Amino acid sequence: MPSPKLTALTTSLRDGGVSAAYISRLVAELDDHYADLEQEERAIGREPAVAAVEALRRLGQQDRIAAEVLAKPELRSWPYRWPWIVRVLRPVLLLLLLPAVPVLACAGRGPAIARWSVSIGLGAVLTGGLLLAMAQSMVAAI
Amino acid sequence: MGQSNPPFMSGVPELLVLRLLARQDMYGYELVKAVRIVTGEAIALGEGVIYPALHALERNGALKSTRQPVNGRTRVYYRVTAKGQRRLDRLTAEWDRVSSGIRAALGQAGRA
Repeated sequence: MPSPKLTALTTSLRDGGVSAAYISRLVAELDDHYADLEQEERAIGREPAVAAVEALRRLGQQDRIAAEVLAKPELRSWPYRWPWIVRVLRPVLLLLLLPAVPVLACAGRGPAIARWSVSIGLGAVLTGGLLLAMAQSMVAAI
Repeated sequence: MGQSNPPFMSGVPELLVLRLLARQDMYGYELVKAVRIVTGEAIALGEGVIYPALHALERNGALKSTRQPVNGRTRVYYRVTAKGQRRLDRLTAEWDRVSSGIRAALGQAGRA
């Protein structure tokens, strides 16, 4: 029982900001539905090839299914629904990770590195906080 | 959601889905078939497009899904939650109000 080729649907959804986990769930349910339709068509005496074509027709056009998904914001991934979170969090996370790079490079130098890391880390947190406040005020202004 | 239903049917497929799932748990294929049967084929849901509708209802808390193995396959069964039941009651009341209004209007138009 061959599954329908749902590559066009998968591509449209991925391009539309739908998460991979949701796409695989949808495709699995559509595959299952297709198998039921094909079985039903064969049960009424259709040839396997005809049953497969009819099952695919009844399942519906892939662009129509994709349009239905994309019309529902709750089915899209969170970075797509709230892109400002990504814009705000990315620089903050990078700033927090920055102090770890020299610490790893100078492993074994003990207390001096720890003091340096703490001071840089605090500085990064402070800068990150300021950037976050700026980003939020920019988002609020938009 | 409907593949061949007129635009004024907006909201009706959701009402039917919730009504049928309130009676018993069903999976997508079973549900499409049930809609066709209970409406005397007057309402045809697009078979593939029912899934985004089910998933959206689930995300909104109106439905809950469970996976069950049946004959070597895993079926995703949907059932109505308490929130879904409240939504169904609201949609049913809305539908009754609109349809009785339309019936009254058609009756008046017929007599005029």
